[in-house]
Amino acid sequence: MIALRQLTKRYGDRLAVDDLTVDIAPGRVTGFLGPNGAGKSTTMRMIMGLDHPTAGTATIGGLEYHRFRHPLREVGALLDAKALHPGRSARNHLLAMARSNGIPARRVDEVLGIVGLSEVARQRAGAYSLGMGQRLGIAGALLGDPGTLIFDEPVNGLDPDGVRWVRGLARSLAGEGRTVFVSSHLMSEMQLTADHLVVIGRGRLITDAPIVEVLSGSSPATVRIRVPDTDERSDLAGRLRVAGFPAEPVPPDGLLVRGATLSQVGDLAHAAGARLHELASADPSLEEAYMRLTGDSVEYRVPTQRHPAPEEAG
Amino acid sequence: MSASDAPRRGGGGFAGAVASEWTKAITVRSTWACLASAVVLVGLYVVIIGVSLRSPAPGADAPAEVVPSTVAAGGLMIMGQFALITLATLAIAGEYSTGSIRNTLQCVPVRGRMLLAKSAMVMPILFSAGVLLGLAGSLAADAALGTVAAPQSGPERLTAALAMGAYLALTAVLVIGIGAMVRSVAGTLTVGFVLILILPMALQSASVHLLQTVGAYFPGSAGMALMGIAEDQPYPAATGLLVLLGWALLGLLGGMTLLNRRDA
Repeated sequence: MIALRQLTKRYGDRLAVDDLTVDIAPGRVTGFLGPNGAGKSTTMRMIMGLDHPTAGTATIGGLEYHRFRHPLREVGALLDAKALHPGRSARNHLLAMARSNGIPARRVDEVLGIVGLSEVARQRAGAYSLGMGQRLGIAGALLGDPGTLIFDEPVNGLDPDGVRWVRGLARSLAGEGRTVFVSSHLMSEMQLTADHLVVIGRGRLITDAPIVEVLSGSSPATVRIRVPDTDERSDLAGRLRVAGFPAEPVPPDGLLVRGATLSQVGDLAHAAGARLHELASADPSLEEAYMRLTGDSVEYRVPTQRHPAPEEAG
Repeated sequence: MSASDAPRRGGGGFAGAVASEWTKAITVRSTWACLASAVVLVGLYVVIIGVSLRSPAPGADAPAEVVPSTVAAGGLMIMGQFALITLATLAIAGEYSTGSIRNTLQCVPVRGRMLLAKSAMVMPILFSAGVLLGLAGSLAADAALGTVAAPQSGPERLTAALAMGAYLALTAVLVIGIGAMVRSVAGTLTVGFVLILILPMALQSASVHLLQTVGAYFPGSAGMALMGIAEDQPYPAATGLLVLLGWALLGLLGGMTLLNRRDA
């Protein structure tokens, strides 16, 4: 269990992390989402004791990271895969880590096997690809067989196979009852990996909820239909509006109906005698939910041209 | 739940931190390159100075006898120590330039312990290097000086070599402290050499007595007093050792203070 209490980090006059209070529970994968510059990495560095909080605390199982006698056996973290000496071999890098925490050398070979680097363990880490570097970082996190794992953007630079592997690893670690805290900017990745989401923007907590809640709560069910006939389309749009379902036109011949089920829209279309070419549910992706959540907290927004808002219905 | 099969109490702590630093030092090429460079540099100095001392300038008197160990110590001060101080610099500032300091602090999150472990790793390496260079250097100086070599007993050579080892070991700790404060390889080397050699040389060449006195208490001057190669021995060797010890502690204290205050 990772506990953040009023965690705050100020750089000059900029608040990187602003009064964050969150519990990251064991036994599930908690995704940590936020736009670039939202404070994800700073938060993780504070949990690991690398950055000092301006205010508040970050504890693991009730203790600050530096209180552990064998910190690697309590918390494994992949923060920055490139943070190693490029001239040292992967095996020696892990061996030095292991010695610092009284971890036997055979565990080094074990984790090298787990991450699939056994064959190249004696190569200079500097010659590794980005993906191999990520695997080595994950090996370091697993070294102490810790109850808490923190991964900052673990799938960065991994090929599709590697991405699937990290996903499976995170899920199985959580399945063993460990606390798994994974940050990512890939919403689609979180949708597949996380059970629970912590979303921050500009250092502030936006959401702390199960992923299903984030998906359903942020947007009503949305149905997509295509009505090829123009008159039928405007007639149906009017009927939908009367029924309380705002319909947004989607060129060339579509309508996006919010807050309705497939059968409600289908029945209304039948009643109106409208010919449909498509009737499908347009479930929001996590990406859409996320954009909605963080919409006004993006630190470095690219100015975009706003589409005219769809006509509001009564 | 954690560390199911690993023994709970064994390892870690300060001993683990030192073992880890040791492993890191011997598994990079730069450590060995620095040691080899020191041998080459001291060797070159001993040969060049030895040979030139025994060949009198035309018309000059017969050259005076030279103590072999002083030639070796001179080689260490003027050439060899640069390579060895680089070794200490890389152990701390090198980790800042690669970013691996964050990995180190993940393994050993107590910052003072991390700094002490690095000191405990470099001290024996530089001490041994100093003693071996001192002994081998004095024997090489014998050969290079030939007829102008002053007779020197084994215990005398060993004492001189131990002084060289002690100088390097304490200077290395000072450099570890500077590295923790400055956090860049180039910066640490610059600050290190200005403090150890350049500033005291500049001060001692000043005509103001006070500046000369101040200059005599910088690390390089204290080292030369310890090794008995200072120009007009301002204080006994034991005082030189104490002054160096003071600098080492000052460096550690400064490094620890800033380490604890700053983000990694």
